[in-house]
Amino acid sequence: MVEWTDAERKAIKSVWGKINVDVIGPQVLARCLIVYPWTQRYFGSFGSLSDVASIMGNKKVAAHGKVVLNGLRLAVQNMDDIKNTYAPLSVLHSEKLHVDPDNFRLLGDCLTIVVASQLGRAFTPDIQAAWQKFLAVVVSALGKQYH
Amino acid sequence: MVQWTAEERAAIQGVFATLDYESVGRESLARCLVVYPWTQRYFGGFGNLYNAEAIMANPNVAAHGTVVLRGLEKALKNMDDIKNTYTTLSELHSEKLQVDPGNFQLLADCLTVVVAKHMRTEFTPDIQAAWQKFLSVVISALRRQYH
Repeated sequence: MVEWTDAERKAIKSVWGKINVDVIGPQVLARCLIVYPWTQRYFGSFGSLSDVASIMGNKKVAAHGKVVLNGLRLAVQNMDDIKNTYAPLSVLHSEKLHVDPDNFRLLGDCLTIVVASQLGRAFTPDIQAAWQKFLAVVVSALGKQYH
Repeated sequence: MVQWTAEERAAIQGVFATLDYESVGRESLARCLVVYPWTQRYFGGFGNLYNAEAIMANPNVAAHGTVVLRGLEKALKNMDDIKNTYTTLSELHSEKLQVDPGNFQLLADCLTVVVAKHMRTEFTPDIQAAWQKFLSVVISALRRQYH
């Protein structure tokens, strides 16, 4: 089981408290589609993703970005059992959506970049370490039901 | 050979123009040592790396961070031939320093977080894409002489 120190729990909750997932969700997903363009393959029905401006303005990307980031709330609220909390989501991504699990890490990296740009100096090295550990646990849990 | 669009060149030069090498160098290396603690193994002679505060305040970390950023500037000044520009540096890291090349990506990721933290909303998705492309070319060149 993952062990969290009090400082780590505090850091993660403090980052979560400072971000508005409905605002940054769209930004994070858009960045992922721009910086790692192969990820666009999962969104064939989303309409125009032909350039940066279309991706940034795409309403389906925005809506889906909110869905994804709101899903992170489950992990924040169940930090001591992220593995089991995410079992159904993992099955969904593997069996139904057929998402290459390496992409979870890429989305996580884009989230960290957006968090860093939002929080600025408040995103200290210690807080970055705790936040990246949290995302690594989330990514691992999402990949766990793949076979 | 790597192709750069005019926009990518402008984006990368734009990012560099915002960087204070001493402060960004120190912060990026310090974050790497904090977030990925095994990287401390390369800096046994650096003195106190006991916690984040010690690492951030360590003068050897600061000095070495600046060395790294100056090295990165070589790539900026030779964007059309990073591969050959970095031949000697690649040999140094492989033969003499014996650095596991996986760590280049980790340091690059920390540098990107620091850039995002400083540039905030100006670190737009397309600038991020160009910046990360630049860093992957640098990493690839640094890995090239390993055998």
